[in-house]
Amino acid sequence: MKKFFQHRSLRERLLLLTFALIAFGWWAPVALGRLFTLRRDLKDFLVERETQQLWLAHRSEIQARATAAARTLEPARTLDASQAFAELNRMAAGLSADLGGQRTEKAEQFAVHNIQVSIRRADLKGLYGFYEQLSARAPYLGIEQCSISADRANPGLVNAVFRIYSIEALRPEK
Amino acid sequence: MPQDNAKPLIPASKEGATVLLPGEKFFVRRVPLDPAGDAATQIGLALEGLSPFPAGQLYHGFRTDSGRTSALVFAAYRRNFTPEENTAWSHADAVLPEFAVWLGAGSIPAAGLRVREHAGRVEVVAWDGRGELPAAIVVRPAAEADREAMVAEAVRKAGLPAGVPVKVFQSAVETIRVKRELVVRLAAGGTEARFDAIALGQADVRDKVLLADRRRTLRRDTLLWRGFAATLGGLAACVLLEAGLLATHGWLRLQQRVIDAQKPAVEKIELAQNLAKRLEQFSAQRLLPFEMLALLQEKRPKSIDYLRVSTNGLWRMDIEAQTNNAADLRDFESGVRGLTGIEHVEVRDPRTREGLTSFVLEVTFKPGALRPGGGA
Repeated sequence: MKKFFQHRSLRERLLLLTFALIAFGWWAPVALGRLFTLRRDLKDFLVERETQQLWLAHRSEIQARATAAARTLEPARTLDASQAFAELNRMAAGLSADLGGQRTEKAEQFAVHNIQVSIRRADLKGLYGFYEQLSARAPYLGIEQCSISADRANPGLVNAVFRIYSIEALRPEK
Repeated sequence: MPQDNAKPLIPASKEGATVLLPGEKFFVRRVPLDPAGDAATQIGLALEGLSPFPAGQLYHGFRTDSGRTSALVFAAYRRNFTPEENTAWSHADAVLPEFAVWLGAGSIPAAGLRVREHAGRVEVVAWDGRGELPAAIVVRPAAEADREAMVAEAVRKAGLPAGVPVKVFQSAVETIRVKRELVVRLAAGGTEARFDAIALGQADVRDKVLLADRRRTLRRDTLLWRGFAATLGGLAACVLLEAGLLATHGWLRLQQRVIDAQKPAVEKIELAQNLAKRLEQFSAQRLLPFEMLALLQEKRPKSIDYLRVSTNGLWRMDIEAQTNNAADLRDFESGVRGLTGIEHVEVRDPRTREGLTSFVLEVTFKPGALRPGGGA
């Protein structure tokens, strides 16, 4: 290679050097960029793998915890999504209420259903009545989040939004 | 690669070769030097006194002894060499007289004579036993040579007594590169002279200006080559890097498939964990917004109206409220702070407009401080 290079004219050598420098100047940053991306991907992968291994290593412990939690439930008092919906409708009778936004999360032994209840222009007494009925079904029905605001158009009346959960005991699948 | 010399003169056949010129074309003198001064300048001055020709019409070189106290100067009239020979030198690594083989200059040899006969040439070299360099060198073509007369001439020039020992060699001279030195030696062995880069620059008989140009060109070429080689090295590193990236990407894809395959199972475990935690939480504690309100109601001044209350987690309530008496805000805050079962109180974003002060009160209750159906 040295012989080939040294036997070229000065102009050819300068051109060769220039082309080589351009190629290197273009390629090196691109390759380094790819290296840094790979390094980041590798790091993300290692973190994800470690997290997965951690979860998998605690699988039996978590299952045992879930089973123990499920054992505390009285299956007869738990409510599936439809029952919860019906029960909340009953409790909100007489109030201007909208029920919706249902969401369910399931483990092997139980499920947690979420329903959003929006009550508009209710007096505090009516709202408290709803709350008392709800409290009577605890812990199978309960409030996860609550927001109450004064109705600007009707002083003395309030609007309320509750995110309510219901717990359902599931029969193990055979 | 060893290079043999022969008669007639062999031109440099390829780049980097050493050209050895016939000694009879040179006149040789040993001159004293001031070790502190520049040797080339002193030689230039000496040459002007020694030579019948102007310095510009001479090819000359010199070799100093190790103490730089004397130098052997050799010079030749430029017209003794043809233009073809000159052209042949342009690519040579060095151009030296053939008798450079005797210019070892490492130790002081005993007084005596060396006679070399080879390829139609007789070379007589005399040492006087006082210097590292020869005191006289006489070279003639064999056809014109009378060895006895040449020996006598050398003895006379060197100021030696009659009867000094004479050694006769019949050997060619060859050159070889050893690391960064040029070695000029007898092919049959017995003597050699080593020239490092500086000594070679001094001994090279070519035009000194051209030599300086040539050195500059060599330096430039070396720089260009090193730059090119370094860039090629960088490109080779890029190729290796790309290959490594490709291999690692392949491995990562395989590993990612394993991770993806495990994902549903892991998500299931994660969900079970979250739900179990929530279930435990629901069984042990529950959100009691009306009990929170009832507890705070005890300390609420009448001027304060709630606009909105919302829960944030099990133990925090945020109250957006307003009052037409700004002083009541402070009373309310301190009153709430004084309640049993309150962990933290903070007033956020207070502002007054047209006599109404609005604010947000963040109240954090102590876990377990509230009882269903009542206050703390």
